[in-house]
Amino acid sequence: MPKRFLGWLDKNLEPVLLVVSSIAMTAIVFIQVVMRYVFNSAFPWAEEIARYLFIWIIYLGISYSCRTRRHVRVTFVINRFNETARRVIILFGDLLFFIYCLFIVIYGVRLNINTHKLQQYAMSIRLPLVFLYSSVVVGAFLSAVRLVQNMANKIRSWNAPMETFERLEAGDYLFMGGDDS
Amino acid sequence: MIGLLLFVSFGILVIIGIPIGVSLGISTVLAILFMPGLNLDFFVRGLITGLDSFPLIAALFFTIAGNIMGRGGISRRLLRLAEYFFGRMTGGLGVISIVACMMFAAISGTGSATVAAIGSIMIPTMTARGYDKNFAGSLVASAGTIGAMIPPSVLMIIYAISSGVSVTAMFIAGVLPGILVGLFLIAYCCYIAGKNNYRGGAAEDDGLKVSPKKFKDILDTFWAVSVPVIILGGIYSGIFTPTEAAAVAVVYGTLVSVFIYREIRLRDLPPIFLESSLLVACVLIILGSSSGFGRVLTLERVPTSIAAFITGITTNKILILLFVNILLLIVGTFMESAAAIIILTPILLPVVTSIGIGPVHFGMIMIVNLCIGFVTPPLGANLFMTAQVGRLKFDELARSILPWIIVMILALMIITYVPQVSTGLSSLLNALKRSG
Repeated sequence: MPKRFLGWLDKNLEPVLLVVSSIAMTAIVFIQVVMRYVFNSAFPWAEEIARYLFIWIIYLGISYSCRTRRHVRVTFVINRFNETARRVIILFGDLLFFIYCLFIVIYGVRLNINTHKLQQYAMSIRLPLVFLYSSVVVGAFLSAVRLVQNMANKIRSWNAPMETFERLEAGDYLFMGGDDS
Repeated sequence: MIGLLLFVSFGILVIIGIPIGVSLGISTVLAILFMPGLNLDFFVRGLITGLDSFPLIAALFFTIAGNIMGRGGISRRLLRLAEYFFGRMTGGLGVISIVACMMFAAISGTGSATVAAIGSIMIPTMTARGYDKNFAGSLVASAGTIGAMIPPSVLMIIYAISSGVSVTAMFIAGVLPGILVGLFLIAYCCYIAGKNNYRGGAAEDDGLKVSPKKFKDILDTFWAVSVPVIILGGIYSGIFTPTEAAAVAVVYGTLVSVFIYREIRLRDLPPIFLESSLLVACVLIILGSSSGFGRVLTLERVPTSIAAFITGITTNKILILLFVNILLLIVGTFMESAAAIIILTPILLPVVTSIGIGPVHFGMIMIVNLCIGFVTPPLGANLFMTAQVGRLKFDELARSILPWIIVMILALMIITYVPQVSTGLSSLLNALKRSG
């Protein structure tokens, strides 16, 4: 049961949050327009909430893009290398990305602690700014998890054909099945 | 020195295939570590403040709206509409494809959806009518680049945020350059069609006779054609901001595609929202790390030294613009266009403003340039997409695209050296506003 639950989380955690928040953001901005023109009044907080949701969407999207290796990168140089070199470089790239994420988590937590101490709030409503600043920590943390999954997965399938090796998704091995075949 | 460290480490990381946003972040962090008196907190804060912008949200909304309408059968209807006007002329099918791409560009914020939708219908149709298949493929691939040149355009939003001009100013500036490129493509298409005798006269076309079916078809496209009127008209007249217009476009596109055209169902929407947000996140991770990058550049006076270096060699405006164009064409071939805008704007904008080029005009030069990069071999997203949907060989397509690239570069030269193409419409609108 917990394994199935983890498997569900692996596949759906970010997508569910992304879909819900992007639909909510569209609705907030659209309703804001309607309110202004039809009812001649507007919510003072609409823009700010939309912006905060947007930043959360970006950081959750960044993490889910690690899972499916969609990030924008230049591949035409390494595609000319031989297969073993490519495998090593791809794995090394994941490792660097992972270290970068850890760095952001550490400094992001510091930033959040300072923001919390200073009791900073959003402009329009009494929403602590920690709500905004934690997006980058959560995004980087989830990315780090995704990258560990990726790396473990790639080491396990080191001898798989290049096509499969490049396209392995984070969840392929850790939660789904996990056998050696 | 630190500038060198920044660029060299960034170059190496990008070349070994680290995501561009991460490469930018890592090299910026490295540079900060070597700069006395700077701490890393401002870099992490920049990851948030760099993205905390209401106008930027329009990039996501226009992507969602474009994806909804791309799947909602709107491109097919635009093709049918264009067929009534241009079906009978020589090279008509080619003109139809280009015009439909231009109309779709005024609805959607990106070009890639257009290539797939219009290419999968028009490449087989043109081939069946005796067009050379690689000519047909090159035509659709080049016409697809207009998607990001005509507003609304995600690239314009990204440039606006990176350069500090308003999104609306860019949306006004893009109208004429986009149309200009479209007209150049149409002219070349007609020229070749005349030479090879690609006759018009589509099967459904019965001239200008009025028939109930034609009336129904035209009425059917009304919902699609009114999108640019609502979005661009609404923005230009100040009824709503670009971001609000984009949210309206999402809702309107959903209503039309789901309830009027009935081409997609409500349950198809979550995957579209998901896809779009992932697409935008992958670009905006670069914008997030670019705010720290830009700060390091400024502190190290990199843009001013580059500007001084270039103006030390020549102060000839024409030569400098030529150099900038060549640089952008090369970068556009190898790097994703939004990424190129985010990275190059803080470096190049000070250079060109020092020789008297306005930021809006420069934005259009940059965008048209990088859009040509969509079709320049050996890479080019539109080329791959076209080869796929048209079942063409990539290397043959890559050869037959060359004259089209030359045609687009001619249009680019006009856009570069005649600033009025980019600024004329806004002066006209201002004049109207003052007199009205």
